[in-house]
Amino acid sequence: MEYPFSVMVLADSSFRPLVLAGSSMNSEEITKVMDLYGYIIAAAKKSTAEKPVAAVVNLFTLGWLNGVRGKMAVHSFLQQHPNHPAAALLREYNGSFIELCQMLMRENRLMLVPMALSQFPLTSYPLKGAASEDIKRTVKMWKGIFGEGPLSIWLPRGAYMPGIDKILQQEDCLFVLIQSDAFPAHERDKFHWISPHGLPILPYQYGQLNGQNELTVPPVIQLTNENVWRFFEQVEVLAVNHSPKQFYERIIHIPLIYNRMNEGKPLLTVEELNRCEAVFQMKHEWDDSVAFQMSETGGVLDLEWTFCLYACLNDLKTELESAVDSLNYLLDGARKGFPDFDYAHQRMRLHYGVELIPTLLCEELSGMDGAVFMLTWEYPPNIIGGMARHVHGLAEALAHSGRDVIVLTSSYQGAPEYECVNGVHIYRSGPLHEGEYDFMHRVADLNLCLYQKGEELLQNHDISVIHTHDWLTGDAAVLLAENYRLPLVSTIHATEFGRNNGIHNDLQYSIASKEKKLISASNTVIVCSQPMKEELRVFYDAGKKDIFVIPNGVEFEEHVMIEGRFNKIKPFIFSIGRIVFEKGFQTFFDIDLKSLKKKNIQFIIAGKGPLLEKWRSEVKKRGIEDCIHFVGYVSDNERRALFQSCEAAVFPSLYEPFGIVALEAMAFHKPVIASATGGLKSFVLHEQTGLLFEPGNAGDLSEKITTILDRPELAKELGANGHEIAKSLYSWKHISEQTEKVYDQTVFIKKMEGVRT
Amino acid sequence: MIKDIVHLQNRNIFWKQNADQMNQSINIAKLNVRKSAMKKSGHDLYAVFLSDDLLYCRWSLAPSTLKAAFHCGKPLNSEILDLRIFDITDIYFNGVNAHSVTCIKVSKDDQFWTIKGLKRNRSYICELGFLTEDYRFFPILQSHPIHTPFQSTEDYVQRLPDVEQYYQLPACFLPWIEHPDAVVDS
Repeated sequence: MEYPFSVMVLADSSFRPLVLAGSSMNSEEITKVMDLYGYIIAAAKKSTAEKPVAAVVNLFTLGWLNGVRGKMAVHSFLQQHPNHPAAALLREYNGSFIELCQMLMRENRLMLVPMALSQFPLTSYPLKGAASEDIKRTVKMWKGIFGEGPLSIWLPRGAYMPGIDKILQQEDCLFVLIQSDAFPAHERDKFHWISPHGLPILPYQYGQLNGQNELTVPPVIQLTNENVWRFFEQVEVLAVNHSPKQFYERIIHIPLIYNRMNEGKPLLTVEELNRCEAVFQMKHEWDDSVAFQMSETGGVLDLEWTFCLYACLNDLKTELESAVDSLNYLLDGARKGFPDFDYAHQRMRLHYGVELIPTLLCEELSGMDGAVFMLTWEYPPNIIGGMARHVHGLAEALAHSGRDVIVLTSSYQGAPEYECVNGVHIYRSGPLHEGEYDFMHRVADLNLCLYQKGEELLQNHDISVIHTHDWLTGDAAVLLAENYRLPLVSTIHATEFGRNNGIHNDLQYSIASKEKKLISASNTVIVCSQPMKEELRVFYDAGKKDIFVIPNGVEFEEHVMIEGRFNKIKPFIFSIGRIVFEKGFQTFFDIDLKSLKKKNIQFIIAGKGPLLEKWRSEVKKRGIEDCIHFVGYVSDNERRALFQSCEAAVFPSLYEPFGIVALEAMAFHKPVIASATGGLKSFVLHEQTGLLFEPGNAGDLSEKITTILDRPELAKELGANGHEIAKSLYSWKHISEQTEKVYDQTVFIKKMEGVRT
Repeated sequence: MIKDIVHLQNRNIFWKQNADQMNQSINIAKLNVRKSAMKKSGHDLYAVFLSDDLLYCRWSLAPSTLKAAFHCGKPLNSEILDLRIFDITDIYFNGVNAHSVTCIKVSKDDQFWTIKGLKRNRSYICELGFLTEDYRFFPILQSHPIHTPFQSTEDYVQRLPDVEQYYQLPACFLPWIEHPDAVVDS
């Protein structure tokens, strides 16, 4: 392993600015700083470019030395101690440690690595984003002092875990230092180790100042004021020569490792964590608006907070008390709109020796104005039923018209927590236990996750209306609307009563109760067909509710190349939907296959659901598996290809509030045969835009299929007419315009609630 | 060495260029995450190591969140919460497939707990929830997963194929547990 240095020292003694500020030039504290850093630069000056000295430094101390107070202290010290080993060097650079270090670094005699600013172990922050912020802040402060980024950052207490390499790499660090205990002893000298994210690893090992190091890697020596002069004297002896050996690259994954872990020592104590808890809580005490007030003295709040954490962790009580007072004073002024910039500038110049520009304000997110907040249990690419397509079509059309739209939906393995697709902001959360067997329990789990995520989103965005789809996300929607006093719109796609032709068991009763609660709590309700509106009025006590009928829309999709999986099945009739009883796919089992077989027709039924395996077995049992194919889930492209190449599309539902898939078939110019039920009747007009048959009547269905196959001219005409009606009445643009009107009305109704007498 | 660093640095630049090619939406996503990253959401559960076998869990649960939780699932005892530590080594945890689970009863006013005796080279996840009237565990908060140190330094060899594959194809799914901040920024 080849190292860019020949010996490394740790110079992380406590930084106590109050003691420094109040001390005289002969005091112990000034002498400590001058000795520690003075001897390091003197040792570096003695070294050569082949054997540079590396030092891990406390960035607060370097910042202070760069500040007005530090520079004055160095000048006075040099006057008092003209024979100090570093005095001559420092005088050449007008007493500036920083300029002297820069020169030594340019000559490759010195390599400085900052310890992460707070010195809190990066693996143990009980605060989201704090470790990454600590690294960023360290890099920023380093750049503020030296004008360019550090080569690496020393990990406090040697604490490393996977991912820290990635954060360091994002900050342009060139390597990460990990203690050699993490590597197999017999392999330490064989390989050039690389982290999985591609960051070179330099293993390190602690050494002693006794001149008897038998290390093959440059030793890391803990420096104190007592031993620093010996280091200065022995630096040439301590330096390890680079081995000319050939090394092989090896990528390595290392889970948690920290100093002296293998000796059974703790990384952090409960007392230390509990002591720091009050400082962690302080981080919550200001938001972007307060930080914005302080933007003239960018970064002061973050630096003050980091110093609080540093002082707290190191148990520097006086320093902590003073830093907390300082932070609170700045926060208080900023909150009242009168920040004390003079004081803030003074803190930066005298105390920290650097001015930082906060990242947050440079990367402000463009605000939203009156966004629609949609809740749905499914959203593409997670598609189980028609709801995902409905919400997707509506959300994208609304976004296209200029409305800000946030969709909050359930998550699944590998799904991004957030993405923005065609202008729609999609967030995913929960359920925490997606494998939970009890359906109602899983839905409750999902709703709590959506509620928690929803709270976060409502706090961060300007939302004007909540729109939920069906009872599955009803609890979350109702809780959010109540807690944030926002208008609530519900779209009821189907009801439990309708799906089961009544309520027959406890599960159905529970679902129906949730549906009733949602309808009751909603300011307005949208349904997709007139029969659905009647259903709500009669069976869901929604007689006095504002119920709007807005049909489902359909996307007019481009033609795609036919996919290979179904190429051999031709010609065929296509059907698609959730494989549940009310979709009526069992009607296919009794159709007149004998006469249809003469026409060599096949049936492809796509979709998944609880009855899929049962229906597959049934097909086998009846010996018709070469004719009726339950193909399960199909991809979007496959679905399009199947619509595109079928002879006709059949929808045999026993209960269908709307029937969006029938509209999809129409969008592909295909003749539609649908059962005369619910919403299907509203746009499948018999012998005009399709053919209707009696629900569940296999004989009637066979007749209609025969008609389509025997009369290709009629089939073509029905397909063309269907396409026309779908385009004119059911485009998502049209549907979204109607929905926008409902939103406006709902917002108005909610506002008027307060003035009603 | 320097050559290697430059080579790898270039590789990093290549990744950055890729990142630049990402569309605006992803950038906005990052900003969103960053914006909310340091804010108090009122409900958090953190699990951090105090040593190789000692875990420290700290949570904050806003009263409104607890109220919402009890609205979604009826509690058996609203004063008692359940802290659960699931062993999720090498599985995609779905709530019912953990290798083992440890249950700890905590008061609703407790805010932290330490758990001793974690096994080496195992993955864990913590959840805070409550028992419902029908004696089911209802989760409210879930921590980031964590992985304990290797039993032996040579254990890294078991991960070598995964690691090398990831190194060649950084876009693929990460087969190990990373620092939560690295996940946030990805």
